[in-house]
Amino acid sequence: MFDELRRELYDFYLHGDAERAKAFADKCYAIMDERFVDGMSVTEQKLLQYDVITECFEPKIFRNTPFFYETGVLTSLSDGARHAKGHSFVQANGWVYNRNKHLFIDQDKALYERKKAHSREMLYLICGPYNDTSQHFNFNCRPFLKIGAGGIYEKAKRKLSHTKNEGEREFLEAVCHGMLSLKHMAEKFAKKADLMLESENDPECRKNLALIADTAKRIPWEAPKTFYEALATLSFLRTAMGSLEGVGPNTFGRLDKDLISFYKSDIEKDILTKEQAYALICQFLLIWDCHYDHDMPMEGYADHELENTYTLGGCDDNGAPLYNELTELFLQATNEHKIIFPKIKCRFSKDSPKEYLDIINKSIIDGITTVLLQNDDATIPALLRAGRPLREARDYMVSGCWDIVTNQEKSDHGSYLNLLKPFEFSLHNLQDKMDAVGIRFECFDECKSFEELYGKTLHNCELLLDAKLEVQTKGGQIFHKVDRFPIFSSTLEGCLENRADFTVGGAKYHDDYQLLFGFPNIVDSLMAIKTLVFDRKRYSLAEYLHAVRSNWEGYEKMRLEALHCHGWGDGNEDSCALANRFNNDLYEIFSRKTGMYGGKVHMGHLTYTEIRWWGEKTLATPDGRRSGDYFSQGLTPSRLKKIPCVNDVINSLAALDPSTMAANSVVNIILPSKIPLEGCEGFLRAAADSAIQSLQLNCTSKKELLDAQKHPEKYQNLIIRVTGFSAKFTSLSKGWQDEVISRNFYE
Amino acid sequence: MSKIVANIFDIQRSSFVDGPGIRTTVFFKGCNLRCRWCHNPESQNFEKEILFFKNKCTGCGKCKGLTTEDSNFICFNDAKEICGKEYTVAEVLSVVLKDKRFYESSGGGVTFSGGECMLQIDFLEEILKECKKNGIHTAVDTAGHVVFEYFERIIPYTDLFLYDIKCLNNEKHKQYTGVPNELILSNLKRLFKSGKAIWIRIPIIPEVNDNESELLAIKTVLSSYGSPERVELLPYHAMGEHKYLAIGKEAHIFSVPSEEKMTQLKKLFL
Repeated sequence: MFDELRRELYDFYLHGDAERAKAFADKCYAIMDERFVDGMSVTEQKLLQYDVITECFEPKIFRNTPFFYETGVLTSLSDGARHAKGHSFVQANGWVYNRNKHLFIDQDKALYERKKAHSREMLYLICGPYNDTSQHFNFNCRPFLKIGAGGIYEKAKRKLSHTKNEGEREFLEAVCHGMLSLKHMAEKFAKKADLMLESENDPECRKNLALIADTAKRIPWEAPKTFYEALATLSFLRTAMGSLEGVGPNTFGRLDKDLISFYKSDIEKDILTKEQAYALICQFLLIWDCHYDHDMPMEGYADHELENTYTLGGCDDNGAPLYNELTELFLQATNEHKIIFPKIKCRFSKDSPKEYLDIINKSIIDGITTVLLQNDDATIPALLRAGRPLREARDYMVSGCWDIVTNQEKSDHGSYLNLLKPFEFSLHNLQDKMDAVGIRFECFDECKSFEELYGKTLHNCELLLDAKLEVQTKGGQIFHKVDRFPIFSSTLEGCLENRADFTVGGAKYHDDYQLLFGFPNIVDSLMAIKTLVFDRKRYSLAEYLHAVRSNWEGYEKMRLEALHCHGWGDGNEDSCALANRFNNDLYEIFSRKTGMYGGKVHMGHLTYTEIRWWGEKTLATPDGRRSGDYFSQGLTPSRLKKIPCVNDVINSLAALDPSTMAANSVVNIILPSKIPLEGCEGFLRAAADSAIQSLQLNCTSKKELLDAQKHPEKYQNLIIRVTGFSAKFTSLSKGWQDEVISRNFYE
Repeated sequence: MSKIVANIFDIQRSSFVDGPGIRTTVFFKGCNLRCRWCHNPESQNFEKEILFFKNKCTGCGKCKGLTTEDSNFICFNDAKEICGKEYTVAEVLSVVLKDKRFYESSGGGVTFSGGECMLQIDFLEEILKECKKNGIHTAVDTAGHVVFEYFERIIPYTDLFLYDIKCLNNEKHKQYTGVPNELILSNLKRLFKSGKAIWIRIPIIPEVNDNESELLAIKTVLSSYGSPERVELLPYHAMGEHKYLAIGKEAHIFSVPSEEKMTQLKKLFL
């Protein structure tokens, strides 16, 4: 039934998307440049961008779906971010930002140079000039589902009548303008559908076109009344917002929670059957999944994924487990059509219904791993400690790869802090590098005790954090002069009430999220030094550092001893205590800092593909790791540690305090492919009782993956969770396949 | 807690195959059967042994003079290991208790296996009592070739028996396991009368019992004894071959039953 739709979508998305978006950008840039008037405020520039894009875009309607959304403004893999992924041009939606981005540099050229040096030396990664200014935007679609763009318009209008402040008026007028742009965009789809109806003969396609012609006249201006209209609202907004605003709407929200009332009401009114709802869900998911060729080789950085996500499961506002017919239908559609995008995030807890866990686990055991599991029992306490009220904490969703977000902030998870770099600089006494980055990390050579070495490790982490926060704070202070986001801001709680864009602090929260890299390898390194140098006195610190600096060459026996020391994830009392101490001490440091907009600074343990890129460029470490070896991800135990029992990993994670990690943390675990369903369920319920937040669970074996490398034709359906995304194993480059194969398997 | 010790050659945590849920399986060393298909040949002798995996040895010489009493020895290349270690009840219990959250979350528990765990009955009785005191589900995996008094001692503290049946033909049984099967069958009959939950486990071994008539005969006998909660057919595998080499013995290699064959045989017990 969906073959025709797939063909139609692939024809469009897999052919000529970059040329199309580039030609459109060229056209719009010429008009916008011409209409630009000196002295225009940033907001006025943004409204000009809205106008020109709305005026110039040509709606593309697919005959085999009742959804209308494709503006042709963006490349297929773009989620709305300005830069055309995989290409060297900026899309039409990046005009304003492009004009003004020089301000980030101009305000403090020395700082900019320092930031460049920090990035070059991999001290941290910031997906943007100071922060991710392009992706990782959490559009909150709920106001559109509730009151429509027209309702938001009215709300802004009402506030406008009581506002005298010029800045506030400008913001509220811009919101109204933005809502009207969305309305005009949708109306163009209605007209196009009417036009297509004149020549369409296929009865099913006529039905789709008639529905679009009728719906797009009203949606998203009016709030949706039916399940179809709700899905149509979400699909339209995802592309329209991205096309106009120049940032990537990374999540549709909690679809089973947000859409169930529409579904139930339709069923009660007898205007929708479960089968029809299922067909709509399949079509809704396929339109995103077909933006992307699953067989495209995955090699580079983020060129293989579409940042579209939605969240299922979890709990309702009262804390009761949430599992309804829509949860089931979305999971069923994902499994049946092997949908990789939108990414699907399944919240779970020790109280999750068995049926829910069984559907997820069956799919994972069958080798269709499209789900990221997110543990409520660890995540909600972290949000509470971060200062969120209980109701908000319970209502979190997971956006992007693993961004915990609520609807009250632009929570940015697009930057990582590489704790291993100061550790490396200090261990290897890399004075030249320290000069290059302008930070004087403390070296370990003269340490007389483990406590001294531990103290320096922590101090170095703080120096690194301070350096990054300096860049972020300065950038944050000037962002509002570079770009404004009236449509996006109007979706965040607080901005309309405060009559201010989120870039000037209008949102309810503006906390800062720091994602840490290197925790397991540092804990293992500290354990090895403590054990072999200070406790057992097997080697002097000088000897040990010399071995590490020699990349262990000539010191293989010492290296094996290091590998056999207790370490993170092995369940040992001492390693758990050290890990807990290090994590808590980091938390104390972070909790003393202030973020870029004056908010709190939260931490978590996460990274993306840097486990390879940074690992390959980091010298040997005291845990027995050789120069260039991959690192572990998040809180995943090091791949060098032989931990035969997965229970030790969970028991170790239970020793950490999850409430310290409001920025989320990830653990990769590979269980055997033959694990019984009830075993998998029990494992998840036990895991819920630990600090695991995001769990990337695969069920496979090294043998199976090695065989898949040799005989890819036999494994065309094998989808695995890689790092923040899922992919067909056979589409991964050899390097990425080897990375997965080098992980710990618990067989 | 008692000072009694047991010789144990492995404690496997996170097991999904030795009873319900997630389990810790404690493997006792020493067995009074010599099943030719045994995939744990290191479990047969009661004494500690040194396992030597020649293919992993780098010749570093660290193990020179190694004896079975060097219980803390670690070969960094995993080429040599001491098989068998004396554990007190408290020591086993502390390992078992580590994973209580997993038992509770999955309906799992602890399984005592071997070797033949019933041959170290004093220890077994003690550890079962302790586990029950700690609210842990207990299972005993046995070949059943022991006096029934041993069963009587542990029945009060055992929630589930995993009971192995190999074949009904006594001569064949002797030929392939080294012991007759009368005692095993009569113990099973008496065990059913105790009302305890029983899972029957039948290893499917080509030449020995991989045919419908043998399995139907077992089924008939079982139904005359009582109702097992479950009957599991476990296909023979040759994964223990390297361990025979490691203890200097030669493995008897059977052919591996096909998946189709297993599916066909399993249907007999549905």
